[in-house]
This record gives sequence, structure tokens and C-alpha cells, in this order.
Amino acid sequence: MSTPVLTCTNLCKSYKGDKMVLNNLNCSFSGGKIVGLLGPNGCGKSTLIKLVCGILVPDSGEIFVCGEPRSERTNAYISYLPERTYCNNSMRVDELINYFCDFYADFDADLARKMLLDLNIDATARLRTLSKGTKEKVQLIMVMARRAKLYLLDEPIAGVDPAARDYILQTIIGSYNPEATVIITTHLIHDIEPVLDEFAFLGNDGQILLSGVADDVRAEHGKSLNELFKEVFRCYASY
Amino acid sequence: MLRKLLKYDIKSVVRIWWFVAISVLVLSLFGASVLRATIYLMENHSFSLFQLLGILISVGCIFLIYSSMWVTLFLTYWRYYKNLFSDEGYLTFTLPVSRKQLLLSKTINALIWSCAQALLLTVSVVIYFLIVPEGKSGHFFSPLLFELIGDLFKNMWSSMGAWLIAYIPQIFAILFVATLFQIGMIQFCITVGSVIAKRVRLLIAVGVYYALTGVLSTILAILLRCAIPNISEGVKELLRYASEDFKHLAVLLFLILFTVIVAALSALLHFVTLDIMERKLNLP
Amino acid sequence: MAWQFNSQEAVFVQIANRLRGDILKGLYPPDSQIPSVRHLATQAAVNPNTMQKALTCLEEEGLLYAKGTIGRFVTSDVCVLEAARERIRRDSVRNWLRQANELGISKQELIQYIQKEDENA
Repeated sequence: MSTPVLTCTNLCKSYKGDKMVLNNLNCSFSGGKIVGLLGPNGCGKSTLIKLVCGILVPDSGEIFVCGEPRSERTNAYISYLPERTYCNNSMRVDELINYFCDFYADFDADLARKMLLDLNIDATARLRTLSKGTKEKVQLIMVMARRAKLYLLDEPIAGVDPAARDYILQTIIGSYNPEATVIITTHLIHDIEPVLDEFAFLGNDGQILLSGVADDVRAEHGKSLNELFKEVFRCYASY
Repeated sequence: MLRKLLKYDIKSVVRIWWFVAISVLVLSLFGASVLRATIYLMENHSFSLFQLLGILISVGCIFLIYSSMWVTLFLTYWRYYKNLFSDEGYLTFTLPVSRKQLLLSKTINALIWSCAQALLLTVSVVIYFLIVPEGKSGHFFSPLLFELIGDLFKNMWSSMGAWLIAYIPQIFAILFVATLFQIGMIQFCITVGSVIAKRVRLLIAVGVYYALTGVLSTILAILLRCAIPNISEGVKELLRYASEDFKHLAVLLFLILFTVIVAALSALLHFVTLDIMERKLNLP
Repeated sequence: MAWQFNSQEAVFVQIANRLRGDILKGLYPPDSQIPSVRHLATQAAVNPNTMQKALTCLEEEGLLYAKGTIGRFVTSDVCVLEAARERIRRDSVRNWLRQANELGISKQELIQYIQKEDENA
């Protein structure tokens, strides 16, 4: 059994005030899987991703990426797509490609250029001149053009039109490689279900309620992942 | 990695600063010429509207040249805030670089642009000194600047002698640590403002800046108030009997002490800022 | 366009059904190579492992055979293809009969309706 790509042990994180967003969370994900980290809004999915990336610091607990404790070194193994546009708007697309080449040894510039061509995005355009949807696609291309060990995609298909949604899912599948793990957080379960290998439900109490293989859900529970989700989280008023 | 970070920091400021530099040079040439013409008019002709216009333009130019300092400051620290604490932070802080390198890159960037700005203003002053005063023996440009500098050096040499060689680098050292201190202060305030507030973060940063300056000034005032009465008596006695050389040595030691204290404070600010970035980061 | 799936059957079963239909319709002629797992998975917007499972299913049925690392090919065995078609016909009719039963339509009425529709068509 090779080292898991991501392991979290006894992870705790609370925000100002008292809300304990992650409460002794334990999880482990091995390589070569597309995993759905699912849960209602505000349950801590983004928080967990940010902790793994180092943007947030846990109150207690440990995070290991590819067997190493989380540090700026492990950032090199992770390709992160946040919910927001994080690129410098005054850059041009080709300057952004150079930026990624400079900092990430595993960035495949040719693949990035090919994907831009596929989507008819002008590489000489300045980011601020592109529409929001196009900017998000550029970001996705940058993230998926890396040969990372762990891809963390935070709500990649929320707020995106159906055609773009298809393209995003197809890009994720197309970039799949047996050594890398893709963790996708979303609340759009119906769209994402066919893409997943495994899933994990993150509850409002900051723990993993249920996890397993996406394919087996129908056999084991007699319903789709979407319906199982609704059943597990029906107590939560926000849904 | 540090070099790469610095490359992008510099690039982001140079994009606009080159325009500032050209503007200042053009304004200097233009403003100095207008000022010289105005002075000539005022000396040789009666009052006319042209003289008024000339004065207004001259003042305007000088004001704009002066304000380039604020533009550079803004460019440098806007880059600091935007790259680290706006949405761009999601990319910056997930790069495979340490927080130490990030902060160091920003600090070096600020130093470079402080120097560039100082150089720019110096060039501007030189241009004014060359153009505005009357030229001698038929030349257009005035040697006034070189005469003044020459006289200044002669005076300083005759009063300080060889000590001049020690004073000059010391002055530069003080300028350097003062710049470092200012950089450390502003970076610290922006960081604190961004981390403790969710909105109006820069406003909070400004508030922290004034609060911190206030606190430091108060502490300094209290220290001086306590120290001066006690020291002055002893010092007066010492000065009565001390030689010139001893006085110079004392002044130099005092300046060195001052430099060291300011450098230590700058380092303290730097490391506290680093610590906040490492443990208390809170992006929007 | 991503394929749509219902909530009742396992996803790989639904994929296998669809591919079986495509093969029997002639979309993939006998002895032709079907696209790679990655290509099919991307087209259908499903997990490659799930697509692999579905293809393995069809391999076990005999509809597909693997030629080393080159890829998978549609069988040219007429018997297998015909057997698959037969199974589909049977399942289809079984479904109709079950539905008709639930709605209370007798076998005679069903035959009458089929003949009427055929005349009108």
C-alpha cells in the first residue's frame, strides 16, 4: 500500500467566536482517485481545503501530504483551484503561463496553450478584459495543466453555465492520472456523481459522517448519491 | 525562488513607475525653464500676467514632482497589499515558497523603489540647480550647484577634519535604517489591518499606523524627558573639558547607537509581521 | 455532452447498457476498435474507473475483446451479437408486458393496440 496522498489526523479548526468548524477530523485519501468532499454550505469543506494548502492554520492536529508534514514544500505537490479568481488582473494570459512555469516545476505549458486554443481564448489578452466565466476557465486550465499529485478543486462548477460545467468535468477526467488524486468540493452532487470514485460527507459537526465508493452507493443504499446526501443531511434546516 | 518573487514584484511596480519617472524628468526640465524665464521677467520687466502664469506653473511643477514620492509609495504598498491580502493571496500563499521569502521579496522591492525615488528626486533637484540660476560667462547652465557643494565640503572639512570620513557613511546608514524602519512599519500595519478586519482593512491599517506612531512617540518623549535632565548636567561638565576629537567621537557613537536601535526596531517589526503571516493568516 | 444517468441502477451498469446498444445499433461495427477508456470517460463525463468497469462487463459478455495494450475491439462473432440482440428484445418485451399488466391492459388489448399503431404509422 503506497503512502496516501493526503492524511489528516485529529484536525480541529474553529473561527472567531465559538463555532468549531472541524472537530477532530480524521481522513485519508490514496492516490489515483477522484474524491467528492460533500456537505451542506458552511460545513467546513473549503476550510479543510484551505488548511491543506496552508492558507489557514489548524488549531490542532496534523496534515500530511504525500507522507510529508504540511509545509511550503508540499505546496509544490498541490494544485489548488479556489472559488474565486486569484490571478493578477493586469497580467496577460501568456504572462500567467510564464508565472506558473517559473514557480511550478510540474507545469506543462504546452498543455496549457493547447487547452487555451481549444477554448478559443486569446493568449495575448489581458485578464481584466476577459469575462468572469472566461477567467475561471483560464484558472482551471492553469490548475489542470500541472502534473500535481493532489488537485484541490473548491466548488469548480458552482455558478458556471452548463456548457462550461461539462467542459470542466471533462477536463478533470481527461487530466486524470493514476498517481494523482483529485478532491472536489461541491454541493452540486447530481452533476458530479458520475465523475467520482469515492465520496466523503462532511457534517456540520465538523466530522466525516459517511464515506465510501461512489459506485457502490446504489447497491448498498438503494439510492443515488444525491438522494443519499439528502437523506443524511435532512436534519439540517439550511437544506 | 526569492529572485523570481522579486522579479514579479519589481515588474508590477515598473509597469507604472517608468511613466512617473519620465513625467518627473519632463516636469523638472519644463518647470525649471519656466521658473528661470519667470525670474528673468520679474527682474527686467514690470508685472504682467505672464509672470503670474509663470509662478503658478513653477509651483505646480514642483508640487507634482514632490507628489511623485507619494505615487511611488502607493505603488509599492498597493502591490504589497494586493499580492498578499486580496484574492491574489490565494495564489501567492499557495506557491511553493516560504513566508520568509515572500516578506523578504516585498521588503527588498520597497527598498529598491525608495532608492529609485530618491535618485529621481535628486536628479530633479540637480536639473533645477543647473537650469534656474543664471549661467556664468555666456554659458546657459549654472555651475551654482557644484560651487555650493564644493563650499559645503570645504567648510565641513575645515571644521571636522578627518571625522568627515566617518560621518558621511554614518549619515547614509541612518537614512538606510530609517527607510527600513518605515518599510517595516507600513508592512506591519497593512498586515495587521488585513488580518484583524474583514472590511475596510486598509483604513484599519492606517489607524494602526497612527496608533503605533503615537505610542512610539510617547515612549520616546517620556524617555527623553527622564533622560535629558539627568544627562545634561554630566554632559555639560564633560563638554567643558573635552577636546574636539572627543566631541566628534561622542556624537558618532550616539549616531551609531541610534542607528542600531532603529535597525533593531525594524528587525522586530519584520519578524512580528512574519509571525502574523505564518500563524494568523486570514484571507477574505 | 455528458451522459445522463437514472438513480436506480449502478452507473457502470447504465454505461454498459448504453454501449451495448451502440454496438448492436452498428455505431461500432464488428472488429472495429472502440475509443480508449479515457476518451469514452471524457465524452460521457464519468470516472475512468467506472468506464473501465463497464467495458470489463462487456468483455465478460463477449461483446468486446482486448488486443493486448492496443485497445478493445468489437467481436465479430455473429452468435454473440445475435444472442445479445435476442436478450435485449426479450427484456424489452418483458418490460412492456410488465408495464401493461400494471396498467391493467390485457395481452389481447396490447396486440390490438400494436396492430392499430402499425396501420397508422
